[in-house]
Amino acid sequence: MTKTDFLEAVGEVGEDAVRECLEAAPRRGARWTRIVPAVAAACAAIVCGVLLWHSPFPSGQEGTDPREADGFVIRNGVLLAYEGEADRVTIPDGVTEIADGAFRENARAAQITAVRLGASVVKVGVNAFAGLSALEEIGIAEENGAFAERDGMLCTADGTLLLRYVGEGTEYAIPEGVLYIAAHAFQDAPLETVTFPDGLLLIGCYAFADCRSLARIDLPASVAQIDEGAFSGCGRAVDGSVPVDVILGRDAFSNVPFFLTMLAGTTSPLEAVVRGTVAPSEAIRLSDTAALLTQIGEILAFYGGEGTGEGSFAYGAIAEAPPLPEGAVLPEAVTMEDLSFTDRGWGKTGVYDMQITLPLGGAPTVSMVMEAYLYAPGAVLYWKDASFRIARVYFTEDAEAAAPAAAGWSVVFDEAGREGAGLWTGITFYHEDGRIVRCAHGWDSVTEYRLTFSPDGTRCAVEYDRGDAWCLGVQALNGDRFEVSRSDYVEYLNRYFGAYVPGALAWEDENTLRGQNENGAFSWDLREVYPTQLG
Amino acid sequence: MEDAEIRRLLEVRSEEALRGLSEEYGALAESIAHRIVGDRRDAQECVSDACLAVWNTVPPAVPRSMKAYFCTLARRAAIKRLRYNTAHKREGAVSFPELAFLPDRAGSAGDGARLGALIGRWLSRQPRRGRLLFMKRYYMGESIAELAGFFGISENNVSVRLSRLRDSLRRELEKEGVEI
Repeated sequence: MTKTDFLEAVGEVGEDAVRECLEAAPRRGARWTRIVPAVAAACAAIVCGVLLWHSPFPSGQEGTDPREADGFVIRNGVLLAYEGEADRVTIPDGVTEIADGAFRENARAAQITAVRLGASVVKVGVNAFAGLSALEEIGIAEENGAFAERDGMLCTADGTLLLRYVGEGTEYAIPEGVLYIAAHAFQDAPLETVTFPDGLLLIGCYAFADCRSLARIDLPASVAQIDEGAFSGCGRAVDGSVPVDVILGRDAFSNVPFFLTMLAGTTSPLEAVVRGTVAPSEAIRLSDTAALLTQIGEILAFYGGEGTGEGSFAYGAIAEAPPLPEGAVLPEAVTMEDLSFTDRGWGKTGVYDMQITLPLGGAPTVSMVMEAYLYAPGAVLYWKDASFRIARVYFTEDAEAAAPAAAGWSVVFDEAGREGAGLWTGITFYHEDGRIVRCAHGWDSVTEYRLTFSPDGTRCAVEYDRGDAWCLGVQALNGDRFEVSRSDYVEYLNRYFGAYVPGALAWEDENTLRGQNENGAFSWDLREVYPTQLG
Repeated sequence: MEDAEIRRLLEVRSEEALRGLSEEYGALAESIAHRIVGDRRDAQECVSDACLAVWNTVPPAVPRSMKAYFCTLARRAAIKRLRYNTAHKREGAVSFPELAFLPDRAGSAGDGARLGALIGRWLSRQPRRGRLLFMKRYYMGESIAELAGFFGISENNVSVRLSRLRDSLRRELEKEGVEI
């Protein structure tokens, strides 16, 4: 094979892969929305000395054109933007203020690791460093009296703006008097506990992003605004509270488990589901049912010969759907009472799965089956913003068959709906004579894994170390097809049932595993969605 | 111009469609082609070839995504041009130095479709990040630095991950009897 053969072949891998690659968005954009605070009182409370939120241009300043040198765009002493290519940036002398978003548009913002301030800088915007996701240090000239380092933080002399966390350890109490937390100030910090002071007003962009050890997020009632991505990626934060009318930026709590608990002191319905206090199939009735019925209406219109095949359901739901079976009659309109729901729990992709069945007329046993997952845009605050989105449509002759496979196994599909034989770990299994005989390890973030085969050799439990947690997945051989169990012991279970402990796994029979988590022993009938804690 | 509009114009055989196509996706297609052939003029010609191919095939073809279709056609044209250039010993920019272990001889085109299907199957079993990394590098031709910026990881990390991906692919292809 020549280089050109290889490159040519990559062009023939199929449209899905090409589309996915063309549409992929960067991991974290440096953009942030300028949010106008609705709370005038909060505005009035803003102390002079700190240039805040949206306007990068100091008001009322006319006069000289911006000065540009080495990529620094400066007007009247205010650094408006940095367009240079350095990884370590030294702010030139003479700059007195760094405006919000000064690094936002820089294409190499994510490579900048250090920013150094001279003696002339006296003001820094809360979001001045927004976009600098790789920032490791902020250096400030010793003779600069406008800033100080104390109590584990780099801050303004008056202690109102926390520029960067420089402490150590797993616990930190943000000092009283801090009103604003700068962008990226605590990003990637290994803190398990952070105490926020009363009086805190504003948390800047990505301030606590990727604080993966943070167990709780308890914010005081004074917080008025939380900017884009502020707590995104705090994957262990299973509890906390956020003031009711806080202004939220995009993705402020994305990937935070408790993010649905938005009303301080109360719990949203989905949170209740997750904590087991509401039956999961009730969840569908508590979400945006109008959105669900609209999607079903669009699907019925398509099968009825109208409609474009595009709608608010997921791409591909209809494009890959089979034709309507003979004799089946579509209903004129659909209400929630016509539908039956089967909860499928938290799927592999970390979203909540629901199967929806709609019996069709004309042929008594034909039903339309729709697989839906809970979809929530960006920073979802309220249950009513979350809705189920239909991702796959098919038909079944037999209403019984519409129930999830009795065995509890499913053929593994990836996000594009294609069949694959490997687990998310990239391990591929091989079989011979009805037994799993061999496996080959692909790569991913898995650094270590352990296999435990069932006595009859048709099942293999894979314990794998993803780096941040141990997880468990099970692969089964069914005839000559590999299937994976519907629920892996991954994020959801690690969070809510207890961290998985590897090394104590055993098969009780071909459907039941016995294992250990931090709370003791558990037993898992793999046909069920959730395991049972024993001790 | 929306895809639906482009498709409509193609159907009524209006050349406005091609103008819309190159306005929407011309720059992207040219950048993909350029990363393969290394020469700006060659790349522009590839984009023109792609426009012609779209004109000739749509309809009856109904691409689901005009962007993907157009880019794939431009890329195919670029590969063809690369073969031609290699055969005639015309140097382009050095692309994909890590693939230097593969011979560069021009020659039979080989069974691109079959190989593509194999790679596609392997790709579908990779986690999303691996897929994106592989495709952005070897389909789009993005540089290591660009990939590092996109994924928010170091350039070394990118190289290591790509190398693991290539190893995994090579093992897969060997299994299928493809000669590396």
